[in-house]
Amino acid sequence: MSATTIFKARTIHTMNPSRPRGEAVAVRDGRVLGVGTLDELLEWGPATIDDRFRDLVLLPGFVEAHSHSAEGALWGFSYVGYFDRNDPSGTTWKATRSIDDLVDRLREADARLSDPSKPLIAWGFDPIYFTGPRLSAADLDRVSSTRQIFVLHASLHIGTVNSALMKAYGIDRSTDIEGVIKGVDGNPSGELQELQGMGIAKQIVGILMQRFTSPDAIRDLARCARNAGVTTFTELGTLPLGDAALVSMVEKVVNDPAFPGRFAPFGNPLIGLPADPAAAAQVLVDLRERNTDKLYFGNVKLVLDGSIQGFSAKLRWPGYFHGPDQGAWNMPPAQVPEVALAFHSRGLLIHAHCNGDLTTELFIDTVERILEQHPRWDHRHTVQHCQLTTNAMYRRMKALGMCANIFTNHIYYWGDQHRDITVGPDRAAMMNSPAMARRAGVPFALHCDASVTPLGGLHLAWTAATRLTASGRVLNELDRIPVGDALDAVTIGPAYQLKLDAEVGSIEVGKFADFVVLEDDPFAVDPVELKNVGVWGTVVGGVPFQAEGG
Amino acid sequence: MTAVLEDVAAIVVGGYLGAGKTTLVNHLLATAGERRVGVIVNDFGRLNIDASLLLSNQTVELANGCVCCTLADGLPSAFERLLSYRPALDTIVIEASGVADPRKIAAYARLAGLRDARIVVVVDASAIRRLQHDRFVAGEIDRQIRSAGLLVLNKRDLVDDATDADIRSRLNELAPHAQIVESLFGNVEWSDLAAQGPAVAAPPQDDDAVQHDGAYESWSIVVEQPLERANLDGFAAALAPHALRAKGIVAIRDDPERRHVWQWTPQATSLEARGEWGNEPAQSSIVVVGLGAFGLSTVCADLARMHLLGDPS
Repeated sequence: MSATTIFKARTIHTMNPSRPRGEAVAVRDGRVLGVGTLDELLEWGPATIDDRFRDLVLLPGFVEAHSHSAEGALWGFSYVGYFDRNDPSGTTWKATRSIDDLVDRLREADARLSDPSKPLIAWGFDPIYFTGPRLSAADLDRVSSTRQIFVLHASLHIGTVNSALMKAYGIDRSTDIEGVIKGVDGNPSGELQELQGMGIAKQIVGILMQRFTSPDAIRDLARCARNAGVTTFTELGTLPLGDAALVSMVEKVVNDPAFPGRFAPFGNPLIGLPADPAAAAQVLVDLRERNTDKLYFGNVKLVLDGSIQGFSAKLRWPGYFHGPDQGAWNMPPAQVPEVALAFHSRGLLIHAHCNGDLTTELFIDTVERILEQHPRWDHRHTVQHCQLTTNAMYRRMKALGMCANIFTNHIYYWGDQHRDITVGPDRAAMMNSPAMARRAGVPFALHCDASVTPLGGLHLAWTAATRLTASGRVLNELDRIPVGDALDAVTIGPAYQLKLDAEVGSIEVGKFADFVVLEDDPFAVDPVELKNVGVWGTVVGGVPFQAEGG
Repeated sequence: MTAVLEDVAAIVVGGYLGAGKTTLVNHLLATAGERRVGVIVNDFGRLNIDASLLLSNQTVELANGCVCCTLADGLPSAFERLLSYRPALDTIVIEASGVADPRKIAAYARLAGLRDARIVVVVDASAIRRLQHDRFVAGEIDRQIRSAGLLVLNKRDLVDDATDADIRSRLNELAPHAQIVESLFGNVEWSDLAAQGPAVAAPPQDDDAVQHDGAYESWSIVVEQPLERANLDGFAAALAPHALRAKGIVAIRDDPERRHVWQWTPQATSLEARGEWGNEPAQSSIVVVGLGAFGLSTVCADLARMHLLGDPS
């Protein structure tokens, strides 16, 4: 008989409504043998009692149904975002709140690089938080006139570079390429847009691409997840799963017992899969054969539009509040049902990126259509981001058996900008609203879309429970949800829409022994303090993984 | 190498799903004649090619010397593959996705070093009036039409004359400078494409709200006799108040063997020799881009008469 370990804790919240609390949890073979009182658990027979969590609180490990390996990849470079952020080692990088801050941060990074020929790459800069002139080469020239500097914006669509880099790639006033932005004086400003522009800096793009598909990107994603209490996480459609070498690399990294989490990489028909959707579906069906307890292939992500803060999401009337409508479809709307059907008819789970409300409507229409053509029960097709989904849309989603994964972190990180710039007061009050999903009876989860915002179930639950923006405004208190519902939406909620709810998402007999270990009880603290509850680390399959840095 | 690239022209074929883009590309391949054509498509599925000819998963060489290649690894690598092909291709045709902004693809083509990016947009006469009111794609359809240098009105046989007239007036409104040709089953002639002239793609809509769609206009001219440097300078100097950008491949009288690339912005002008003319006729092709509201075409035509054509009238 395998060994049994009983973890004693200050308290355990199982997120299983039939048996919500316990003082101890017994683990055997990496699974939950039981949860309850110590005496009840000892009835199973001899066990090792581990009381390292005696002053700590256990919940099921957080499940993140929308994250990207970019979270791990980008930590290979210097962070210059507008908010404090922790790297995989748990070290906090301070917020960059002004161009001067940015220059200081880059000077520090420049000083750390010994090889003068090595380019300095930074990430996370978001111009939406800055007023005044846009970041330009002149600003970056204050850091170095010799080292090439490349600041990748948070959107990943724009890079600002210094004069040394422009010189190295021959970018000057005679450069006649769309993505190279010029100032009124006719000189390039240093801003390179999209691949047309950024692609000129070939070596930089090469360094970024290599890092994005490296084993370290996935390992560092897992480190960030562990530090934030997340035990099951996803890679939503940016890895080329048609690439056999990449798949072998992922298997090797994730199936290593030292890897602290379970990982579900989604395929994306536009990235590294056969162009024919039926062939792409076959690749994903075949990959399912390689699933293990830690690695879950077989789901597909469709990216349908852009982002709201980038003005590239597709909005219904009345469109954007202030700012230019640059809404763009990622694939022809008329083609979406055909592509979706290819995956749906093979039994695959579809998660579709829909930021704009027009896009949500397109995906709901699509699901309605493919269900008529190929009826299927319990598909759990999910609207990802779901930011501007209306009450009427939620009612249709309910009728069609769909799920919502709601981007509540937007309320905090961009809520003020949505209220004042992108969509205006009415829609900002109703955007990213789990309360609307709940009223309509649509199963929902909350997500962070790391690297867009940092991983962490507590912060997500906090945004849904408080609807507080970065400036301290409340974005509609009517649509706050209770803490318990918010914690459901970062545990069993996302597990359900990944079709992993039988294995993870609650502490229940037979399920994986995956826990988040917290320094305080999230049900007992004031909801406003939820995001400040400390994370000791996680337990994955009964094995404790303490957070770094802590 | 650069000289070779400058010899390769790009044709971007845009239009919504079902407009007949692939049919048109098939027709161009079938009538390529002596031309060595490279084609970039999403997938080979609907091209008239024999799967046994597949060189690799992504490239196929046709019996007539043309080469097709897919977008599986992205547009930049597709360009790279076709441009490294020897003997070099004359023209690369890119079939855009149904919602792509053809101007963005034209910009990629220029980044890759191709000569000019001509934009051909295929319009399904039987569907266009519905699509212009489609709640999901109306904006995309208009943007594609506006980007066109040549509009191919396909499936003309499916509509009556009144509908045809209505469609044409809509197209003229959106793209007053585009040529319109009718086709059945995409039967556009290579000469129709050439007749478009070396049109430079207008910039795509970007986040500068002032640069709204349709604001740009381009004007082009072919001058058969070689130009004097001084005349070109005179033309350049006179352009300043009227235009944003101009470029051209030009023939210079005092350096008759070599092709020259001429670039102009309001701040700077450059003229550089780039390879020899070889069999190509030594003539100048110049394109000027400016804001349509300022009567670019009229002004340019006058300036060209004064400075380039030696006609002071």
